[in-house]
Amino acid sequence: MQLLTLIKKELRQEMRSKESIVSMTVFGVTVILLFAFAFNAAPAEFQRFLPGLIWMTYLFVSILGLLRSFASEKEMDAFAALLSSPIDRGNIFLAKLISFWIFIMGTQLLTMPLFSAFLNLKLGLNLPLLSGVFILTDWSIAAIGVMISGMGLRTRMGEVLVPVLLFPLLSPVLIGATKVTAGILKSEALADFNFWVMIILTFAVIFTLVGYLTFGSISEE
Amino acid sequence: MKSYLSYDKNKLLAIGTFIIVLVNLYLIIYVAPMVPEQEWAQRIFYYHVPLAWNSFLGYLGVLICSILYLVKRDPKWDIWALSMAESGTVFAFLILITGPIWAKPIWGSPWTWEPRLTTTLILFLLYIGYFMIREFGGPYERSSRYAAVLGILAFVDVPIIYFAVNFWAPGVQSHPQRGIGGHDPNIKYIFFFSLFSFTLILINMIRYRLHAGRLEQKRLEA
Repeated sequence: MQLLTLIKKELRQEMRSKESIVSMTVFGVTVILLFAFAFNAAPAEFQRFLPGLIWMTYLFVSILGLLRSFASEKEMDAFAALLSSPIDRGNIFLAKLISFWIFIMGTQLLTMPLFSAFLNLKLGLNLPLLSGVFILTDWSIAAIGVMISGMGLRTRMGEVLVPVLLFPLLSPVLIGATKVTAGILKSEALADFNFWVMIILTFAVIFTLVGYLTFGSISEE
Repeated sequence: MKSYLSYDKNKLLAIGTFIIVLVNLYLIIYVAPMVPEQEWAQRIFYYHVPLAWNSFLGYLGVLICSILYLVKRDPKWDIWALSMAESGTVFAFLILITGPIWAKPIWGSPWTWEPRLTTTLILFLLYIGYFMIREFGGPYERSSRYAAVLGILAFVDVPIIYFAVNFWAPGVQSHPQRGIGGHDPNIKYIFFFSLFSFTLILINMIRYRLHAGRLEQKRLEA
């Protein structure tokens, strides 16, 4: 119940301000356009880089969104009020995780068509499998991202610390997601990239747990 | 408070370590047998692997001390974690240097995406972040808490990174240490002696850093 209320609070805040989704989408569109301009290559050659480009884009977009997600808590000391209420800290973590997960998926929903339009991504039949990968990977990004930004944004160098810590921690997920996406786009057999799905899944489970357990130490004053 | 070396115990440990390291160097250069095909390049194995061992010990220590710090909130454990993190990172950096030195003659190029080397690089980057958060994390009490959480996150991430990178670059198989044990028993003895002497260096470094950390703590309290 508590968790549901917290998620509702995050979503309502986003519905009213539309800060996260709008900034993430606009930034995503810009990055995709930049890639389209920078790699002005033949469409056939593109297919090789596409999975990497997709995840690079969403990693950058996530950073921007994560920096926003705790910025609103800083205003008028909203986080202090949240912490002084009798709420389990683990639930605050889960609520942040789930709401950010929803935001990033929303952003992807809005920007993925651009990959098709500009960068020749063939969505079509791959869509169901791809969505599965996206749902799982986004959860991993959100789990570790919420932890890192929860720490980073209350320090002096938050804007630098969040990406510096996030990229190395996320590297296995990024490798995995790129491999699975490439596999799906090349319509390889599912068994070939089982391993990568397992890596991302393990990461998601472990870091959700670690986050749930340690968020209390992060959020206390 | 007295300086580190003014304690007899520390002095003895430092001198003992110095002698053992000299013996170790002598053994590696003059006694260790040549391995065919690798020649001199192989000798870095007596150096590179103990470095990795030290770095691993240091980071394992960070994990344990970080958990203890979060549970008990005793600054003692924070100083321990910091000492181990700094020592571990020095060794991680040395792995990143000695790995390419070995790889250049053997693989023909200084850097390949060899799983252990890549994992070490990512771990090294993570610990750069760890020291940054200690430096910029705000008040001592908060930044040490953040660092402890990060120490746990980093160590938990290592096996996942390793498996991912291992599967990502499966073509690379050869390591300095692989298949060497079968050549000559002397190699094994000298290797374990080297491991021992490097562990002693690590102990010296951690003890020295602990001493400095305690002095700093005293100054903060005063």
